Formats: sequence, C-alpha cells, structure tokens
Amino acid sequence: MRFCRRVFFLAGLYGFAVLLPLYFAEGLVGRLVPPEVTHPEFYYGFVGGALAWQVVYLLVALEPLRLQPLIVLSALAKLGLVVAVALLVEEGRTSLLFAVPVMGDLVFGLLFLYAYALVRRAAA
Amino acid sequence: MHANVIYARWLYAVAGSWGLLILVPMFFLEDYFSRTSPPAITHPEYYYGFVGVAVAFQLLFLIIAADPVRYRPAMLAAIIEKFSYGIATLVLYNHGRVWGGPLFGGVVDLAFGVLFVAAYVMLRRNARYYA
Repeated sequence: MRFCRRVFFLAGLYGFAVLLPLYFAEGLVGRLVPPEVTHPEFYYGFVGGALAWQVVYLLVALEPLRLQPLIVLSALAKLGLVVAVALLVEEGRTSLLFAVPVMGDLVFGLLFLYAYALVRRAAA
Repeated sequence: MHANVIYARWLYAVAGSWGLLILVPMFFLEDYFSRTSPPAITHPEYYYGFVGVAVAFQLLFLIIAADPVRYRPAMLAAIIEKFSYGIATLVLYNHGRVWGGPLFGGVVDLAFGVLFVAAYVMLRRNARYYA
C-alpha cells in the first residue's frame, strides 16, 4: 500500500511539474517544434484534461483501497498516450522531442499496473 | 436508494455516455477537422492526446456512476476537467481563436461542471456513512 501511495503521489507531482508550464508555452511549442499550433482548443483541452488526471493520481495516493478501480484506468490513460505518441513518431508526424516526457508516462503506467497488483493482494 | 445518490448516478452516467458518443468518433476524424475547420491540425499529438485523455475521463464518469458515494473524492477531478475545458474555450473564443463549435462543447462542459458541483455537495452527508 505504501508503494502505491508513493508512486501515485510522485506521478501527480511529476505531472503537475511537466504540464502546468504548458499553459504558458503554446508559442514556445510552435517555435521549438514548428509549425505553430493551429487548433488551440485541442492544445489547451489536452493540458487541462491531463492536469485533471494528476488530481486523480493524488486522490488515489490518499485512498488507494477505496479508489482501486481508478488505478487500472490511470494505467490505461498513461499507456494510451504512450501508444498514440509512439505511432505518431513512427509515422513521422510528430517530433522525437515529445517522446521524452512520454517516457515518464511509460514508466509510471507500468508502475501503476504493479501497484494495482499489490493493492489487490492487500485487499484480498 | 437516496434521491441524491440517484441524481449523481444518472448525472455521471449521462455525462459519460454523452462524452463517449462525442469523443470516440474523433479518433477517426482528424482529417475531417482539418478540412472543415482550416487550417489543418499541425500538432496531432495534442489532438490525440486531448481525445485520449477526455475518453479516459468519460470512463471515470461511468465508474463514478456505478457507486457515487464510494467515488465521491474523484468527483473533484471530474469538476476540474469540465471547468478546465469550458473556461479555456471561453477565453479562446473571446480572443477570436476558436469558432462556435468548440465553444458549444465548452458551454456543455461548463453546464455539466455546475451539475457535478451540485452532486458533490449533495453527497456530502451520504459520504460520511461510507467509512
């Protein structure tokens, strides 16, 4: 249980550290990885939705047993993003630069699955 | 079953179902968006990131609908998700950066956000009995 709490707490902190600056970095993203972002509703929709997921992680860290099913969903959300970015990189439709933060998502996605196994064992 | 719980169940079931109905087809509509709302989408990672994150949230809503009292804490994240998109689209529309379509989606999200806040407050008393 302690492992699960720590992993989700760390994931939430990591997510906030990576995502919050993106609210102020739309122009920078366009300059670093041109062309500029043309549909800002998807950019800010992604940032806002992903930030809300970080709140889910922190809530799971507080009550892993009660929110146990959300652990699996959290892992799916993390690994889904990894698959999407991997496919886009492979098709040459996005920069390798985006693969760097997504590596963190891959690690946390796998740790979430392990945490779920531990919590299920503890609950049984 | 308590009326507040029934309200929360229906609200989250409708929100999750509506969201899946709108969002899942978007996985296959990137080209369509680029054609009908030019210019073309230049950063597909944010497009698919947005759709994926939002779809995962609709599944969270359906989990909450299954047992709103147990999952009441997760309603806080649901409220943030709804308001974050709603407020973002309002600001972007105000700056002339999005058209009516995203604004409509944002207003619907804000409406659900207000109803989510109501459900969270209404379940306060029920949640005390959870532990």
